[in-house]
Amino acid sequence: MTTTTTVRARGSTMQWARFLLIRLVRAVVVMVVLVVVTFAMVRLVPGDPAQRILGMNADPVALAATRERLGLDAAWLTQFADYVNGVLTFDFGTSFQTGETVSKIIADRVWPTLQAALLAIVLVAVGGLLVGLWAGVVTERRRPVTEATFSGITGVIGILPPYLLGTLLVWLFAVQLQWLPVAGSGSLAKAILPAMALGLAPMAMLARVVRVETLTVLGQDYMRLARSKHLPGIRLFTDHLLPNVLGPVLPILGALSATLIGGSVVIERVFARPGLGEELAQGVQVGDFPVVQGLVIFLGGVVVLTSFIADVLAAIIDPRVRRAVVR
Amino acid sequence: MKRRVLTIAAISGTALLLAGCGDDTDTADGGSVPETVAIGIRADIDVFDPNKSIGDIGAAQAFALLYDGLVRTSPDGEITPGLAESWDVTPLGGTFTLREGITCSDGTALTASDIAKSIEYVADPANGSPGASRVFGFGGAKSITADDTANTVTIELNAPNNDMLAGLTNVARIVCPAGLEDPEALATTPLGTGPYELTAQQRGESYTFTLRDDYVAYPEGVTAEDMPREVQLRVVADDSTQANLLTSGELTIANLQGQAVERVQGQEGINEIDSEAWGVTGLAINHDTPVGGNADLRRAIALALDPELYNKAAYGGQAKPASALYTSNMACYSEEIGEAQVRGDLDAAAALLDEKGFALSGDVRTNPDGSPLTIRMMQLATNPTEAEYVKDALSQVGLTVELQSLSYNEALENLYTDGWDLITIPYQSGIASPSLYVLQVSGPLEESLNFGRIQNAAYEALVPEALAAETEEARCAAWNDAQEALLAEADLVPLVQVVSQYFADGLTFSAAGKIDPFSFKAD
Amino acid sequence: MTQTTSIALAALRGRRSRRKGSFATPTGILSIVVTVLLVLLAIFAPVLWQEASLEQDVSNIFAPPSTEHWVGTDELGRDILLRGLVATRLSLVLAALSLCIAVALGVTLGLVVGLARGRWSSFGGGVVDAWLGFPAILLALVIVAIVGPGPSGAFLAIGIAFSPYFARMTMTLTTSVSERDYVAAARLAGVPRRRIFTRYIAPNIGDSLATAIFAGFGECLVAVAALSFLGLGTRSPETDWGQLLTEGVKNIYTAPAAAAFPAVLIALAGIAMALLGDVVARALNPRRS
Repeated sequence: MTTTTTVRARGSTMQWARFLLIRLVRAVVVMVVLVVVTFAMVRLVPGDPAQRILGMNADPVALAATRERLGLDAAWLTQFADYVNGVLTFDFGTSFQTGETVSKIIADRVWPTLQAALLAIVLVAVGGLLVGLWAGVVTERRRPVTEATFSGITGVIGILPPYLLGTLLVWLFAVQLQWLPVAGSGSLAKAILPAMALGLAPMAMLARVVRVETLTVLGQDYMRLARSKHLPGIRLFTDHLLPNVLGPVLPILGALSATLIGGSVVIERVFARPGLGEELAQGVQVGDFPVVQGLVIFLGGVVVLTSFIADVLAAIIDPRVRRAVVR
Repeated sequence: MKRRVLTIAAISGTALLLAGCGDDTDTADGGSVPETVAIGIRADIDVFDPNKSIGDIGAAQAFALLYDGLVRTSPDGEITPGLAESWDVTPLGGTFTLREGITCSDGTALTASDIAKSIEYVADPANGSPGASRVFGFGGAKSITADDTANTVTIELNAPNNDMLAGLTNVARIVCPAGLEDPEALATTPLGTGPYELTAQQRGESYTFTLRDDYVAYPEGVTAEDMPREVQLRVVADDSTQANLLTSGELTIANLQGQAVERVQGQEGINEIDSEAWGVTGLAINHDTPVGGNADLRRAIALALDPELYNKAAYGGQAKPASALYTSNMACYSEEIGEAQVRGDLDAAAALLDEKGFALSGDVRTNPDGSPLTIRMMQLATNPTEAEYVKDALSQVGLTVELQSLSYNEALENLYTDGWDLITIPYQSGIASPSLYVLQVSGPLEESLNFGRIQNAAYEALVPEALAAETEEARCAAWNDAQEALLAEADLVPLVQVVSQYFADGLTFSAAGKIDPFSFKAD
Repeated sequence: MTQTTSIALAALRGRRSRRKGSFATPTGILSIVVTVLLVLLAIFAPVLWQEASLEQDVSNIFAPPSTEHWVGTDELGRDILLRGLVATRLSLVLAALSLCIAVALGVTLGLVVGLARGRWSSFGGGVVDAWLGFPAILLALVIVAIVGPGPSGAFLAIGIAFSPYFARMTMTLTTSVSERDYVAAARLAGVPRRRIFTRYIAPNIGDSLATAIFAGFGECLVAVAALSFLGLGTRSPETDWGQLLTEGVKNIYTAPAAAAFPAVLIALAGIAMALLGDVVARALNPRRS
C-alpha cells in the first residue's frame, strides 16, 4: 500500500500504521476462525469422516487409506497441524467425486465467478451512486409520488430472490429481445446478465442509502451557502455534494462487494456458469467435504481481502474512517 | 466401491455407463452434417475412466466418443463390428478377430495383447469394474488371451453367459495401455480408441472432442466425411436454460425433461429423437421388513398402482407406462405378460386387503393382528412427485404411507438398511437383455445390488438356464418364466419405461441411452 | 447473499433519517392489515385447506390459471393457490425462527460488546465487523453441511448467518447512546449500570432495532427460499413459498403464474413486515416522529 503519499504529517503516519495493523489483525482472525470451523466441520458431522467422504459402501481398504490420508487415527492436534499445513500450501486434498485436486478445481472455476462479481461491483458502484444522487436531487423538494415510486421500485428489486431476477432477465434480454447470450461463461457478454442478477438488488439498496445521504448533505448549511453563492451546478456537485456523499457510502459499498461473492452461489445455476458457487452448492449437497472446505476457505479469503481493500480505500478517501478505527 | 458405484447408477436412473453403444446406420446422402455439433448434457462428466465412472449421462456420452468396444449395437438391436471385425461365440466364451490398423488417441498402435489387457482389467474383481458381470456372467472370466500374429482375442467364461456379446457393446470399452497403467491420470485425461479425442475442456462447462484422423473402425457405410469434425458437450443442468440455448442456436442438441419439452416440441426445424430406456423404473420393496415381507400386501400394492397415472404424476406423461419387466426394445419382450397384469384396480386391491385381514378401521387399515400399519417410502428430493403419487394411490385403499424425504446421498445410505419399505428405482441398464435385472433382484446382499432383498427361488433357478440356453426360443422361454415368477410374487412393481427426449436443430441421429456418434445426418 | 444487504445497511448506518409521519399513515395501516391477514392465513389456512391442497388430479397437470384453479395446477394436478396459502404457516414460521435465532444471538453479543469498555469492546467490534463482511449464504452453507439439509438445518443456518447484522447494529447503537452527554452525566452521578441500561439505553436503541428486526424478517424469508432453491431447504411434502417458487421458476416459460404467485407472497410479506417495522419504531419512540 503506498499510503505514505497521502500522508502529510508524522502523526498521520502513525495513524495509518495503526489502522492497517488493526485491519490486518482482523483479517487474520477471520481466516483463523474459518480454518478452525472447516476443520471442525468434517468432524462435527456424526459418523466416520472417512466413510462420509467415501460413501456408505466404500470398501475397507479405501476407508483405511482415507483415514490414513486424513490422519484420523493421529492425535487431534497433529491432525489440525496437518490441516493447517495443507491450507497454507494451498493443498485441500482431492474431491472424492472427480478425483481432481481441490486447488485445480478452484483454478478451473474461479474466473466465471470472479468475472460476474467484478462486473456486478461496477454495476452496484456506478449504478447505485448515479441513481441515488439523481433520486436525492429530484426528491429534495417534497415530491411524494416520485419518492414513493423510487422506494417502491428499489424495495421490490431489493427483495426479489436473485434466481428469480436472473430468470426474468434471461427471459427479457436473452429470449425475447435476444440482445445477450442465454447462458454460459467466457465472453464479457455472457457475464452481463449474471452480473445484473447479482448486482441489481444491492444496487437498489445502495441507491436508497445514497439518496438519504444526498438529502442530508443537501440540507447542510455549507451546501446552502455554496448554493447561495451561485456556484455552477457541476462544481457544486464535484466539490461539495459528491465527496460528502461518498464518505459514508464507501464502506457500505465495500461490504456489498464482499456479499456479491456469496450471491454467486445462487446465481450460477441459472446461467449454467461453471463457477465456484455452483461447485460449492453441489459439494454441500453430496457431502464432498474436501471441496466444501477448500472453497469456503478460498472464498472466505477473497471476501476478507475485498473488505480489507475497501476499508483502505475508504480510509484514503475519507480520513474520518481511519480516525474512527484507530480511536 | 463397486457397490456404491453401481448403486449410484441405480438410483439416479442413469445407469447409462452401461447404456447402449454406438450403432451403425447408413448415413443418408442428404446435406452434410454441420462441422460442429453442440450437445447439452445435464450433469458434468465425473471421470474419464470408463471403468470408474459412476455413469452419469454426460460421462456415457463422452465414452461413446472416446472409447470403442469390440462390438456395437445397431438401433434395431443387432450386434455389429466395433474394434473386432468378426467373432465366433458360444455361451462359454468366444474368439474375436480384430481390425487392422487400430490406434490409440495418442497415436500408438494397438495390439491384440493390449486389447486383451484392457478387457482383463474389467474382468479382474479387484478392480471392481461396475459392469463386469454383464460381460463375463456371474461366474466371471476364466481366461482372456491374445494372439498377436492371428490378431485375435479369446475370452473364456467360467459359467455360461449368452449375453456376453450384448455386454461387450458397452462394458469393457478398450482403454489404451498407458491409461491402464496410470488410472489416476486417466480419470482426468482420456486415452481411448474411439473416433474422437478430447481437445479442449472448460471443467464444469464444456468439453470439445475432435475427430481423429487416424481412426479406422468406422461402421460399414460411414466415413470420416459423414462425421462432424467437432462434438461439443456442454454442461447445462437447468432444462429451461437448455431449451433457451437450443432456441438461440448455441446448442445443436438439447436433452430435455419436464415442461421445457413443451416449449420446443413441434417448433419449426427442431427434430425430436426419443431414446427409450432398456428396462423399467419401478417400485422396489424391501423384503426384510414386515411390510415388504408380506406377499399379500405386496400384491395389493401392485394392484393399486396405475402405471398410466404414475407416468403422468412423475414424468408429466413423457415416459411409457409399463406393467411387465421387459420393455418392447428388449430381447424376449412379450406383450401378453404385460397385458395379463392387473394394475390400477383400487377395488381389487381393497378386496384383497379385506380378504387377507387388513381390516379398515375408519379410513385406515391395520395389520391382521390389529396393530397399526404404516408403510415407509423413501422420497428423493430430485423427483418428489414419484413418491407422492404412490402415497396418494395407496391412501385410496386405506394404506398409510409415511414419506421419508431424503437427499440423494441419504437415500444411498438408507438403501441397504431396514429403514425403508418402498422406493421407486430405475431397473435399467445398457444391455437390451433380461439379464440386466439379475443383479438387482437376486443374490445375497454382499455380492449383489439386491437392495430389495428378494429371495425368489423359482427366478434364481431359471437365470442360469436362460443364460446357458443355446437357442433363442429356449432362452426367451426361460427368461419369461423368470419374469412371471417375479411378477407373481410382486417382488417388484414395474411402472414406466423412461424415455429420454432429445431435440435437435437441423439434424437427426439415433440414440439409445446416448447419442450414437456415427449416426448424425443432416436434416 | 445480496438480500442481507438491507439489514447490513441499516446496521452499518446505525441511524435512520426519517421523514415526519404520524402513526396512522396509509402505509402503516396497509402494512398492519397485510400482516394481520398473513398471520390469520398462517393460523387457519392449514386447518381449512390442508387436505384440499394435497388433492392430486393427475388428469389435470400443469393446468393454466382458470376460474377453478386461479393460479393453475402443479405437476401432480394440485391447486397452486391452495398450496401457497397453506405454505404460509411453514414459510412464516421458518422465517420467524431464523429471525429469533439471529436476533437472540446478535443482540446479546452486541450488548455485551457495546457495553464493554476499552480493548474488549474494540476487539469484539472487530470480530463482529469481520464476521459481518462474510457472505451470509457461505456461512449458511457451512452450517447446512454440518447439520444436514432440511428445514431445521435451514433456519439454524440462516439464523446464525444473520446474527452479526444485529450484533453490529446493537453495538453501534449502544455505543453511541452510552456516549451521549446525559448518559455520561448519569454515570458520573453514580446511577447504577443496570438502571442506566433500562432507563437510557434500552429505550433509545429499541426503535432502531425494531426497524431492523422487522426488515430482517423479509430477508430471512428470502434466504430460506434461496436454500430451498439450492435443494438444501425444505423438502416435499413439506411446502414453503421458497419451494413453490423453485418449482415455479423451473417451469416459468410455460406457466409464469406458478412462479409469480409465491414470489408475490414473499415480496408482500417482506415489504409489509418492513413497513410494520417503521410503525413499531414510531410507536416505541414517538418523540422521533
